[in-house]
Amino acid sequence: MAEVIRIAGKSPLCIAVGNNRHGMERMGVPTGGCADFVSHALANRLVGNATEQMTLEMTLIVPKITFADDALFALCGGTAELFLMRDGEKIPVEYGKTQLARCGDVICGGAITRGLRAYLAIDGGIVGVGDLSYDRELSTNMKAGIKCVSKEILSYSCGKKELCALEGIHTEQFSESARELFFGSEFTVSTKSDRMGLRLEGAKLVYKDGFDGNIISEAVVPGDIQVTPDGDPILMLCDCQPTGGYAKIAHIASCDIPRAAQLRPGERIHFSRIAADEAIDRLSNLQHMIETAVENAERSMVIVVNGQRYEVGIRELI
Amino acid sequence: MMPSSGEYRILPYGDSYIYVAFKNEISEAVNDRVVALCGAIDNASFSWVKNCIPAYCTLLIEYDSTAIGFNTASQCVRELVNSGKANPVNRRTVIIPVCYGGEYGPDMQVLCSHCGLSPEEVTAIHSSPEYRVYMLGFRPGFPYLGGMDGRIAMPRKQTPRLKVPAGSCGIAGEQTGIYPCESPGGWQIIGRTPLKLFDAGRQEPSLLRAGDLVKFKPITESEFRDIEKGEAWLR
Repeated sequence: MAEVIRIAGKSPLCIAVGNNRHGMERMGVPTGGCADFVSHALANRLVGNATEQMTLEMTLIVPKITFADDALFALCGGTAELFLMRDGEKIPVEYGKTQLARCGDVICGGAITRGLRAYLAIDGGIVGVGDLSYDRELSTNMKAGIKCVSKEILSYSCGKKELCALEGIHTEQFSESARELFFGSEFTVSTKSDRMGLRLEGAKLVYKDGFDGNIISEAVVPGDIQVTPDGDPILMLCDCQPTGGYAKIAHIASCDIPRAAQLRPGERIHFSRIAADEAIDRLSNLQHMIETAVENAERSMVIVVNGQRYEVGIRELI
Repeated sequence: MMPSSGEYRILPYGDSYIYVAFKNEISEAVNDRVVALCGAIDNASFSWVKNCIPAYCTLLIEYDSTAIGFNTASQCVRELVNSGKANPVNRRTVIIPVCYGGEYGPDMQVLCSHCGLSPEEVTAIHSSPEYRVYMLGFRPGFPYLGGMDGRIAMPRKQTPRLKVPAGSCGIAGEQTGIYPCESPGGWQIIGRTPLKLFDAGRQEPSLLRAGDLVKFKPITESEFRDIEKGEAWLR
């Protein structure tokens, strides 16, 4: 394995993530993995990776990234205005498209302004080595070629203000008004949110008379919305503790978990009811979309003219 | 008429889970049903099951809802519960060596004063029962243990410690448990085990499983150091 990228400045907001891991919750281990499985999967597909490969999940900012090797790379998810510096030249970085980097190129960092989390995939996947260095996990011959996704699909996760949710398993613990408020009012995403969950501020949700919101400890999974005694709902994400004891008022539709993962502190959202059948249909469509969304864009080849190497993109015209 | 511990409900949970709720109580009989059903589902190896999370009196099953309908899937689960294939089979008794008091049990004296007992009595009372592991959660490898004797119960510390060493064995209210890793904590620490409750490098990272029985075995400081150094510990 050889170093492929180096990050400037250690940050807990920049981590290598894979798929969400099933099977260790019963040992008390959080599911973990990428918070936004759509952006992670699309980025991987754009560089010819299996979706299990690790990507770099960057929250709030994209750091300065230096390429230690030639690589194909792609960015999906929360957007920042980024440039690739190559020998003093500034090349704009496009989201949702395979790009070629040369050893020594540098992605100048930037603040993520739409969405919250950006995913960087490198051909062959990455493995963290120490704090700031990542090796390529699998060697490839970079034959994957240039691919892209439509703007519509690329923006699946970011900027959505409505999350669909199913009635919670402990719905009988909540007053009628609490349930109406949950589905009828706006909530603001608190700054006290992270990969464990989003704390939501808004109308206080009250338990029914005779209930105190405590339940015998049971499993808690990403997408669950627990309500603590102070009346604030918490939307659980990938790093949530796998067990807990607060009543759940709702469960986010699985297809909307990536959208929850891209909500910025301060954003206002609301929930709408969805029936299980429709939620499952949407999940199925989403999975199909991830499988089929990535298309070949240009082909690229290297030509040599008068001893000078050029990367040339070729798009077949109909 | 079903025996009370045998009552259960199967409900959809979100769009990708099946929730099996037995009688809503903390009891060995009910937890046995949960652990047994979890084991039966593991053994059945249904292609559409992704995950099972057992707890005190519930089992949450994650399944591929795009591949099979809830009604069909829950019927398979119902058949397992009813058929008696869901009978507890392997229950392990795990012996956990604990060095009580001294530097490993900084709150032993405080607890003794609170309960009006000597350290020897507290050690004997704490290490006497076979505790039931009802479930794991909260932290990797952390067991929710049942069966502690109320004579050694004591509320948590008013001010939690910033750092409790990994392996610390403590009491909080009527509960006892072990910190699987160093963390802040408010439990009254009466001893420490040299065993790792969670080791990501092991084939089965967690030392304990839901349904296991745990017996604490008092050991000396010298035995503690030997086990820590890697002397084989026979379970």
